[in-house]
Amino acid sequence: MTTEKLILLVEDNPNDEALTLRAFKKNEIASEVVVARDGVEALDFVHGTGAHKDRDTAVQPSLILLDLNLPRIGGLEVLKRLRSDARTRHVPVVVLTSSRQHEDVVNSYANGANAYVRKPVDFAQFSDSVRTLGAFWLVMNESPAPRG
Amino acid sequence: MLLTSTSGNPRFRCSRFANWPLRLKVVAILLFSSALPLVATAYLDVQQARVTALASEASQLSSWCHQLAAEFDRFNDAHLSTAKRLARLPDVRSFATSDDHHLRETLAVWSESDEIRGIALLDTTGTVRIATNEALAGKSLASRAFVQHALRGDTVISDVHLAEPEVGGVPSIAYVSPVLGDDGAVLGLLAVWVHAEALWDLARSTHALGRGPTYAVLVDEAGVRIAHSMDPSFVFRPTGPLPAVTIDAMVVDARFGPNTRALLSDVEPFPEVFRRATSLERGVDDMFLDFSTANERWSYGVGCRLTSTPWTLFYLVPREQVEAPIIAMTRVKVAFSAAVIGLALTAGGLLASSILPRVAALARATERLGKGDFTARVEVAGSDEIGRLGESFNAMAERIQAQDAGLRRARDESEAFSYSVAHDLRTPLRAINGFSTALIEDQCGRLDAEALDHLERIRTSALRMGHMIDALLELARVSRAEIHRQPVDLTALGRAVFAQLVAAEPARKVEFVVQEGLHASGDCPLIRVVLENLLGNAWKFTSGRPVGRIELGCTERDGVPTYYVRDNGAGFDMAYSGKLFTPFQRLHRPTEFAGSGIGLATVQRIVTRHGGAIWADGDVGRGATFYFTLGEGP
Repeated sequence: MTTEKLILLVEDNPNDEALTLRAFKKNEIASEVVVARDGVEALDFVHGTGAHKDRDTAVQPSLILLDLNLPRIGGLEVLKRLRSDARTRHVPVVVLTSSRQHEDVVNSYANGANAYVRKPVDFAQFSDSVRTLGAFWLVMNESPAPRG
Repeated sequence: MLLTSTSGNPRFRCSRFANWPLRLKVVAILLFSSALPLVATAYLDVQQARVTALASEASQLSSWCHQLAAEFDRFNDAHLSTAKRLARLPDVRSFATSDDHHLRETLAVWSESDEIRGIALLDTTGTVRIATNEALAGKSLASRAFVQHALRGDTVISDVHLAEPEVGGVPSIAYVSPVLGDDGAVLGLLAVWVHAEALWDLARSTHALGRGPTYAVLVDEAGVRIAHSMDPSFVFRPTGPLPAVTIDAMVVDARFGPNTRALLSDVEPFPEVFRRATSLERGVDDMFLDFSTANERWSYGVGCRLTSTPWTLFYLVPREQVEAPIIAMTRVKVAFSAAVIGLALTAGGLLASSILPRVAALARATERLGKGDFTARVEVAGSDEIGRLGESFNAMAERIQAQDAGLRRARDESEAFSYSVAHDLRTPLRAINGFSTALIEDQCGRLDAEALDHLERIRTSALRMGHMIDALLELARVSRAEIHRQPVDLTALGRAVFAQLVAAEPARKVEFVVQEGLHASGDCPLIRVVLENLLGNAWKFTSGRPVGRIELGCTERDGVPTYYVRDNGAGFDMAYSGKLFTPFQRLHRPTEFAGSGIGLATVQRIVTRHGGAIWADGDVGRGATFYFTLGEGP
């Protein structure tokens, strides 16, 4: 499975980051993966602010994998701001988190999440999930975001 | 429910008054305590006054009656003695030989009076020999009762009668004395006619005696009115129906002239008067109440018999006259009672309006508190019992609100804790599992079998812990979840859950027997959790059987629908059945059957929260049956 598309992984836990990247690798998802380690970093990247102020914001990720429990700006707030900005309004966002709290699920969808996936403890299961996500959002799904 | 079942007869017995609204109770008590005694006292007072008034009236009437009766007697005695004295005059005694002219003149002198209408001398045949009214001479009066009576040697006072035309033809009374010879033999009769008008004048004078509308009636022994102080038109009218013999006798006597029969038939009933006047042996002094059609009135009366003639004088007073003061007093009493009752009710109303709204406010606040509004408070006015009750209520509500807030805080904290357990405890597990997996995958060539086995153990342990955390979260969730009861189709739900199990392990042979039409009342998602756990357990524990068998059904126990899940699996030792529902207590080794050890605890929590119970029956190697009830539907 190969694609030229850009993925933004918003994840503060280095272990989860490593495992997620491993899952991408194992499933041969060759997209460029940008990792943001908190909400501020994620928003800076997509909106071309802060450390990413020189970035061309015309180029937006084809998929954002968003953890909810993040330092500085939390996942739900990031989601809200993504959806309130014209450049990122239509970027597919999959919430990828440990939580299975009903409120988290409801709030995520209320703020415009496209999917909600709970990270399982079992890596084999997780790897399957990542493969499915990649196949769906990067291959099957038609995204309105222009490819840079 | 317990309350209603223990509140049988005693509450029912007193429910009538006990269930009255307070306002009604206050009114009832006030009426009972003020109105009843007042009315009773007023009634007794009025009765007492009535007895006193009647007694005084009776003595008054009696006194007037005797006074007037004495007047009548004096009137009769005076005229009778005139007759007797004339009968003793020598000229009269020797009238058979006397000069008629001389004798008439003598009598004429005696008859010069307004009252006396005439004087006559009769011989022993009853024939008038000499009379002051010359036309009368020679006329026979033998048919007159008083003549016949006097001829027997007695002095006689006649009844009031219509005298002969020669004596004026007016209602008169004849006073007759026999003229006796020296030997005592009756020589003739001397009769003096007195105009009845004189008698009536005397009766009319009664108005000077009594107050206002008192009146007197004089009745002869036949029951005929012979004088009436108020209305002379009643004179000669009988007070009751006369016997035919009496009427006939009076007609023969021509007592009231040619119209005698008509007059006597025109009865104007006055029953008590008639009875007393005609029965001479009866006492007549006690007061009686009688109705006269003559004046269409009830009257109190007292009778008095004359001594000179068998006439009875009645002195009467209209009932209203006697009772007017009693009625006036009754009115005053009623007005006074009404005023007192009005005052009592007003006072009661004031008391009630100072208490009842506060009680009602308390009732409303209690109701709100009972429905879970812990901010309910009452305004405390005053420091009486109700005020103190209000203060106590407020203090109680304050405490309940504080406790509720504490509970909510604890619940929020528990939720935050659950969230962190869910999120934070699982993260390291994911790393342990993930990197062990990575090691196994990447380094399998360099590690020996033992090392790989250790890594596998690390990986599965992390997995198991992840399951346990999930199960604990589930237990916490069902403990907090609100129960929304609704009808649940257990048959369909059981089939759906079983289908999931089959889908996960399609290779297994398990027979599922579910009773048709199983219905329950409960929280549908939670009941699903119950079935998932019980059917899941049954599925798991029948894995050693070539063909597993799982049953879902319902029986009645003590009238309560009891659902059951039965399997033919590994079963369990009843000696340890107490541990079944305790979290993390397992009756099987994890190597035999996997599981979190929390499933049945979760099931028990759900069943308990429905107000039901769960228990199990089993035998090692023979399968198990789990029974549960779901309490009462709303």
